[in-house]
Amino acid sequence: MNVTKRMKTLLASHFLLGTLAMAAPSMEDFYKREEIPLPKGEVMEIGSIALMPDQRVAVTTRRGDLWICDGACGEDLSRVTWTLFARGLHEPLGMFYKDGWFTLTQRPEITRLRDSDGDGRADEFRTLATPWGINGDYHEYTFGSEPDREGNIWTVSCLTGSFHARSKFRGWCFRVTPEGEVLPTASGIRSPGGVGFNAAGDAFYTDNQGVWNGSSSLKHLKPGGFVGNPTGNIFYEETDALGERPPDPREESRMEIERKRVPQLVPPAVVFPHGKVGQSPTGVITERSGGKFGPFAGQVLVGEQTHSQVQRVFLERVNGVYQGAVWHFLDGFRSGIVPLRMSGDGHLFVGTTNRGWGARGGLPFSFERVTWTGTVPFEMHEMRARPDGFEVTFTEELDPATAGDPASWKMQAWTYIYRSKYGSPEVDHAEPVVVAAAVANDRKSVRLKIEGLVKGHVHNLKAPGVRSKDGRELWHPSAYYTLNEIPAR
Amino acid sequence: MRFVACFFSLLLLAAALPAQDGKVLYETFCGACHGSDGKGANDGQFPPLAESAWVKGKPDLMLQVILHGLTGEIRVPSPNAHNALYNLVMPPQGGTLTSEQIAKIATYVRRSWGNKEGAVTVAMVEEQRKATKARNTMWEANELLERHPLPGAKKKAKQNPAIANLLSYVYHGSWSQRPDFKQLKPVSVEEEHKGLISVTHAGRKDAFGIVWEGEITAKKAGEYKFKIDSDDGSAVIVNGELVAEVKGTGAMNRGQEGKIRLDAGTHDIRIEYFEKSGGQDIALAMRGPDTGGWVPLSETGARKKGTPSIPIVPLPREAAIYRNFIEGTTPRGIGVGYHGGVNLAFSADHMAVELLWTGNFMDGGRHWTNRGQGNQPPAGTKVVKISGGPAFAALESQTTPWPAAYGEALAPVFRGYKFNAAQEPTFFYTLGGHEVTDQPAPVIGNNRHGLARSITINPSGDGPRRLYFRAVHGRKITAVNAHTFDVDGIMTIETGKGGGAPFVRDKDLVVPVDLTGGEAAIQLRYTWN
Repeated sequence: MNVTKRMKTLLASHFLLGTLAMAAPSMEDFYKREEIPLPKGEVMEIGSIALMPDQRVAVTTRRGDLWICDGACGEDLSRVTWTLFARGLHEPLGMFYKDGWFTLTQRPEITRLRDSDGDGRADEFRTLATPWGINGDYHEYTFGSEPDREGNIWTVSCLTGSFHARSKFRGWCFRVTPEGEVLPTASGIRSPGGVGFNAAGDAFYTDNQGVWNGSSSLKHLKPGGFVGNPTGNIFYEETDALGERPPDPREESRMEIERKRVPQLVPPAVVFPHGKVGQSPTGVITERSGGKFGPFAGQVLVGEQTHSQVQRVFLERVNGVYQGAVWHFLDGFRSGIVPLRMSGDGHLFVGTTNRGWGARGGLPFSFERVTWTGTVPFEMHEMRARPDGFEVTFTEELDPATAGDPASWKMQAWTYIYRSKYGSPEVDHAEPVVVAAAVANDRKSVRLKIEGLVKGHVHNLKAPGVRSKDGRELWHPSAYYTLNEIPAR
Repeated sequence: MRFVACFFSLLLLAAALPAQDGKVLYETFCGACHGSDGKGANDGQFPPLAESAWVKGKPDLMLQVILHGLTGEIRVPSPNAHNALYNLVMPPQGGTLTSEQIAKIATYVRRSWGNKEGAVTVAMVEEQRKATKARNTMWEANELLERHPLPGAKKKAKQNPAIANLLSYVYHGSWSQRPDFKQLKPVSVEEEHKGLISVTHAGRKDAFGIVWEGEITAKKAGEYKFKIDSDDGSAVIVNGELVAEVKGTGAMNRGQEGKIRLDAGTHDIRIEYFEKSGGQDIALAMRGPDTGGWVPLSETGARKKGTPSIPIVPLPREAAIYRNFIEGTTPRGIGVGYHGGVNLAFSADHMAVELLWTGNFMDGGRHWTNRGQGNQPPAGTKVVKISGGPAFAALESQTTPWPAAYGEALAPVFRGYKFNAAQEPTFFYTLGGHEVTDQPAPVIGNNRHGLARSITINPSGDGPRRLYFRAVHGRKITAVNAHTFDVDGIMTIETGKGGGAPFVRDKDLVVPVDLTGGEAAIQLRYTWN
């Protein structure tokens, strides 16, 4: 190739890039992010959010305050008012409101509190349960859920210093009934960032990259299960509730291999590849607005502290094991997200803080909301494992020429070392090949036939060349599917 | 020619790519904490890398931090940090990032934001990996800096201390003016190898004096200025000449400045200080033709940045609650600050009021900044630990040893608390099923503050019905009369009606509690002397 020809090619490709860049989708097209004004002079590092009747929203702060916000769902956020409800709480990281009572998962205990004399401030603080120990180590966080379908709160307790089990039941999940009965539920937790439920009502939590976690992930809290970090398994001696202590996983192994040895081991449902999809996943909620927040009703949304984002997750159950895909979703929040809540009318609320753990965004804390603009983003919607590939559905009708061309699709796969060392590089790389892409009759899905799927690996599907019927490119063209199981049919 | 230029610019672009790569990697994995500008995110809450001594010189130190992480306190000499103290955790990256990624990130850091250090190669990272292959824990600063000292640190260690051959003489006594220390006898003499004066080594907080003697060095002949500030009074004397004096008693911010001509060479310095009561501190600094600004000669002032103070203040009709890790009680501690200067800490592990103190309540600075590591002591004065371990026990006899923990029979369950209109809590708990309430109330006197406590025990459970309650534990107790006791000379405790006759055993004041006839009540009043 001579120099002149090279220049022409360069110019041509630049021109092409230029036209496409004009059409590049961005968040503002689909979702509106707004900062909710905070009470003046207060340090509002938000640890939990609760939805209340009359469109009020309550938040707790890491310093231990509980504030009630009026107007957070309103059109004009400058009219928001705040009322202090309680002070002197111990770092609550979970909250809900029911029948006049707040129920808080505080660092030392689960507490119900209310205003019994009607003066607007809490005056009754009833300790419901104290299932786990604390020893004064700052890292011994406990996150708590909203009630499940039976009214139980699910709690997940971080290891001491995120490495050790120096207080009772660090690394365990409990269910606590409305009467305060404590049910040991699962073991194997390292450092959680939030706990919630999927649309089916099963409990999931996020666990952060570190020892025995090659990367961060969303894990299924299967009752009786062991979710991977054996440090807290010394507490099987304290209870018969989960049966026999599982054998410890072997060093420098793989999740896929250890699953065969350790029957209680529940593999991460969806791995969030470290650096590629955030670094510190946090709150877990299900999108329950029934369409008011766009086309993703029923999917799971996960907060991200370091990168100040919200990720979107599709879950399915194959051979009884949860697995699925994660996509980037919302971005640009002003500090590190910890809790999420979505109101029935489609307001997504996020609370943020960057104290002690850095985050993008530039603010030390914020309270923000996101609403849907009404424009449907062109996105992969769901991604299901098939015996010989994947089936991917879309939010919009596809352009069959690009979507039906196997060359529009790329796939890479890898896994992580399962070990007591902190984190893992991506290992055992594989390059599964998309050999066929069949667009469905309704043009809303594609059946990908893939050679070289690897059971247990994260499969990164990229579709930069796929276009919608009207020529739009995907807002997020990259999906990360964790293939714990390959369906037989 | 144009094509040639273009071709060159393509080459330049290619050459610039690895650095760009380093920037992208840095922003992804490091930028959230260390900041896109390398100055440390959140106004320097996180350690800066820009012009940091930890980044300068050989890359081994920073590579070890990246590979294995770093935990505990560190100081960061950097114009962006002013040698500030940090106590965070840098998570290890060696298990996650490849040597190539680490080399790119380290090179980017070492060539950005004013850093002008050499590039880091993959081989250098591999070498550091190999050298610490067996390591599976994070570094702590002391251990790491012993192997890889900060550049200039050795030189600094060899440098003369601010005050050479420094001795401190501690005197006991109460003065309103600086006494003639030469007529007094010191109770102790210490060598102060750090070469900085500090009042924290006196071993007491009121009614003492300290004289320091040592040598300072003037590199150049000329005029030397000294500024001194103290709580209470002090004076700085150089070569026998009084240079500056803070007279009488009072808080800091009464600083005085003086000057003296010094020849090149060493000179005797003597600092006299006395503390009557209340707060205590001293700050001293020197400035001369060769010093390049003020040089601290005291620990106060040498500390540029510490934990900020965030006082938690009880309001009238609104007691303050502080649930966090309070020094002197257990992790499930609940601090209560009453308006007027009476404070307590209740242990929801031991079901007992464990600490009483007067004056300021708590400071949130430790727990409300950074990650909030460690225990925070009460902010006030006259802290008395009145209990530790179980407050109730079922004993065979009055001489049975007190158990170290509540047993099965008296298994404790914390039930919470309820506020009165002034947000003052009454605590609820059960012991062996018996329902107990503990209602503390402040007693604000003109001169003597105190705390009244009313405890009721309802024998609703299956637990034992003959109990003992430890009103005070681990102090020297002297009976004044049948219901009045002196505690260490600090506090007087009166027991009211209800409960059996209190008795002193060992260092405990014990009240028998008889539940066989139904509910029992214990009235107590603790008053600071």
